[in-house]
Amino acid sequence: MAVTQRFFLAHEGPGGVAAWLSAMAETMRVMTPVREGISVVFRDHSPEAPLDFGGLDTAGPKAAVFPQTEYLLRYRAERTAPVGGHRGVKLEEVRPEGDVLLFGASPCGARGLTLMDQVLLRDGVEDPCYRIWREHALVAAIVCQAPYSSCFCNWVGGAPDDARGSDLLLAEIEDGFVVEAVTDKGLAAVRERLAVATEEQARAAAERAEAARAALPAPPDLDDCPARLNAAFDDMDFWNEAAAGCIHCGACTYACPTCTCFNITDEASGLAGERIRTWDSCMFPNYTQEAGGHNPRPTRAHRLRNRVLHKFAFHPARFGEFSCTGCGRCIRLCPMGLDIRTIIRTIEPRTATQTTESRTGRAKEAKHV
Amino acid sequence: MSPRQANFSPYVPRPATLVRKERLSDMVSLFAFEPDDGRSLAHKPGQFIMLSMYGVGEAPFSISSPPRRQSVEFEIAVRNIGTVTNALHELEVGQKVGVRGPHGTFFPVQVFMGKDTLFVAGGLGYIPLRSLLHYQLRHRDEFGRIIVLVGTRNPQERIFTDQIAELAARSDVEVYETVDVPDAGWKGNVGVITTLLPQIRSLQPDNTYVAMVGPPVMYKFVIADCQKMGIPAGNIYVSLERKMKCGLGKCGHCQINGVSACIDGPVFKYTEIQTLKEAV
Repeated sequence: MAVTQRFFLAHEGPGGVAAWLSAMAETMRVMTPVREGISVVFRDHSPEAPLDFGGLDTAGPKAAVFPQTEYLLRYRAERTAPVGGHRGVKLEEVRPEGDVLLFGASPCGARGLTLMDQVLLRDGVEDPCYRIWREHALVAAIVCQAPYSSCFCNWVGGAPDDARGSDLLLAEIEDGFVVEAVTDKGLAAVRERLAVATEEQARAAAERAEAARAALPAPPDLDDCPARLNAAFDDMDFWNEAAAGCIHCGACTYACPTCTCFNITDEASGLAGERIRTWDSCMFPNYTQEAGGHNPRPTRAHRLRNRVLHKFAFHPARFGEFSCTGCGRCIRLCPMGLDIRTIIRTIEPRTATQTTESRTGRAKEAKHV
Repeated sequence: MSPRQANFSPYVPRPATLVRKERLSDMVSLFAFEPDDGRSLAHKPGQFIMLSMYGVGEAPFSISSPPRRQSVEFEIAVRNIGTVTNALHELEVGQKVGVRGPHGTFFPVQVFMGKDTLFVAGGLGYIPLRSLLHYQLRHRDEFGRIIVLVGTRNPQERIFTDQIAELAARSDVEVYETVDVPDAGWKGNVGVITTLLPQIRSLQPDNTYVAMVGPPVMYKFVIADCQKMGIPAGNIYVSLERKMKCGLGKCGHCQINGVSACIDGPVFKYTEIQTLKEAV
């Protein structure tokens, strides 16, 4: 889609944010970032509530297209004797409905959607619910002004003004936003409603984006990262050490804009019930635990290793890019201060001597499952 | 209805009815189902289904029956070990379940044709291998030697004992059985399943294909011994079982590093996973 037209969305007034959001709300659900305690979350837009574009949206826009809890189907049984067994059962598919505008997403969060697409839409069969959510979502991201200490989007090919995954990309200038229509869907949402940006406004926006890019420290070269991680696969001393603090809370995966793992469970109430999909986390001990008792990833070291290698070795091997947008949400939210950057930057296969020397440490750590 | 709506969701099961139930051991029973829509699963040996016990949940089970043209009935054999399997064991003939699938890769029957097949069935591994085995027995002329190794923890846990006895009585099937821990009445071989390998008479390694399913601990020992006997790595097929939720390569549970056991497997040629860490 070679659309490069730029528009202007004023902070105030007739061509302003409030007016545009109200107009959009006539045909779709509008969600905007709202500060709740220490979190910035997407909530249904209320003209009275102040918008918060200042902070990184805590969990990104993922939940708008991949809800934390979602019904896959409803069932109603006709007569039942033992639990689970029925003489007949009526099924009703549940399908996502309605368009949604996600206003004020972070570019790193929006870019995560393109990485989720690889798993949910392009690998084997399509996930039908996600497909509908994606088609019905209009993502308006806002170019970052200044990086946090946890930001590393430029390590993984991203940028504060990365347009991938967004339909509209907004850059804040003095008195409003310069709006770039990234997709046709985005263009349709602004073409009739907003004024075309002046050259001066467009230049100011470009300068802001350039400044934001310049504010990020130079990235390390991660070209050999998959090879280094694979080579260090069996270095359990390293992984035990790296995972020592992990309390398997799953915050890193829930907040991750690219994590797509889910669980499927049934919720029964009498003869009727729902089959529900919920976010799951590979950091949970029971994630790979089989009914027979076997667990292929028995310790937190196995689980952290899997998470890191999934993002920086396995996913790239399958799809050609890191499954990480460098948003740093896992770093910001980890209660134990684990930093994935340290792992991907420093990991090197250890020499045989080093491994032998710290073998005692491994035995001790292995008990902490 | 748009084409997408007509077949909207791969998450929606087809109803099926339990038509037969048979106890195989203290913990394991066989369940035969017929899809209510009268359409066959059209599965291939080694594939699995996702079985729904509504209100309890869904779980993956290998199809144990061979593909059949004349019947839509299919069989699974299940150990009563978790919530879904517990509910399944309570099921009565005539009651309904939901079925998705068949899912996953399968044993390449065409490749095995004209060759000798060495079945290595550890414990419940006999259940998925039975699909391929019975297919071969049905088309007996198209295959070479059929050698079946069956290993079980103890005599009480043996399953399909009558069928295995029938096989052993046939002149065109070679059956070797062992238990890890014998009881007073056990007259057969004692030891892990690899102790059966040297007993096979005049095996032709290059002409032999291996189909192997068993507990996780079994694979690397059997594979190593097969290779020592001269069976090429590319002739060895394994089925790897993992926790699964979606069966579609989406939910992540069954991932073995970069591989999803549900869509890239469960059946793998050993050379495909030889360098895959933690696969076997």
